[in-house]
Amino acid sequence: MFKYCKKLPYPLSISKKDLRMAKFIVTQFGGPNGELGAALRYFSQKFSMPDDRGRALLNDIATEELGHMEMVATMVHMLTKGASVKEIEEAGLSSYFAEHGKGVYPCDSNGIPFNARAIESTSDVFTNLSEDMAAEQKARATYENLIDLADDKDVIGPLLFLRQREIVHFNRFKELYDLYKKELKS
Amino acid sequence: MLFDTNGFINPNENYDFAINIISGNPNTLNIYDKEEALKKGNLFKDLYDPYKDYKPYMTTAKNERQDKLLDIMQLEFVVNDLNLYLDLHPEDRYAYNIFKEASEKLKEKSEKYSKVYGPLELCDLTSEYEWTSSMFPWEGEF
Repeated sequence: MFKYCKKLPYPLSISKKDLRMAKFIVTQFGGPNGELGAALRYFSQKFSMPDDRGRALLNDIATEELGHMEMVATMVHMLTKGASVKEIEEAGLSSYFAEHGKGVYPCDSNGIPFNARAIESTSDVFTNLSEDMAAEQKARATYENLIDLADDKDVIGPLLFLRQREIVHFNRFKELYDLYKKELKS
Repeated sequence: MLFDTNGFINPNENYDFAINIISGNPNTLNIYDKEEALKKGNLFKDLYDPYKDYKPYMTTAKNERQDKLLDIMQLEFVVNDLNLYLDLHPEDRYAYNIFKEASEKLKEKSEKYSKVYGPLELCDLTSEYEWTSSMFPWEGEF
């Protein structure tokens, strides 16, 4: 089971409205390299892990990703707070607004809804862990693109944090992959 | 040093000592202190990888509540990052001791925080039902 905790993994203090950045950052909520996909991917794969180490790591990283998902969604919420329809139109978000109003919706930067086709979960442990390493790299690269597009330190700081978590996760998945390569006959 | 050379815990110190992530050797394991770890998003010095010349930036506490919550977030981060390490190295007693120490502090500080500012988790009991009235993390500043 899961228990909700009323805190974010990293403190957010975003007071400057920035619809342009919200439009980009939302992709890490519901886009192909985003946190929702990451959480779902590891959550689904954990059932196929062959030992305690794998079950624990996949379960625990999936849980951490849920916290990141809330953090990214919160950033979108904070960046769009108090926006007028005119501002939404000017930021190129009118089609988003037509469907979702000012709601926070899991989609990519082009408004394409979240799709589980962006993830894989098989019973083959090496396929899963290779996918996980690639996923962490894709998310890291996406965060770097977002950092390049941002100009507010209150936005860049949290993006740097999230990027760094991808690096730690990549290393843990690689460590597990290498352990299994050594121990399991594939 | 959290631990002195004999391996005893010094509870008044931050966690700025080292573990070797590959060997789990207590004398070489490299860890940031909790403030630095949360700010950087990485507890493990050997894994830290900066982006271009960006420096980590984290907002600071603007009141006593935020100051206390930030401390809890830092402890939670240490617990979380050690959790992932220990998943693959459950036999590392040294890392486990740090994990234990940080977990105990986290529990103690979360309980104290809840009594004053409202529950962080549903079962953090206060004098009346405050789950709905205490701030959700996406409202206002952290």
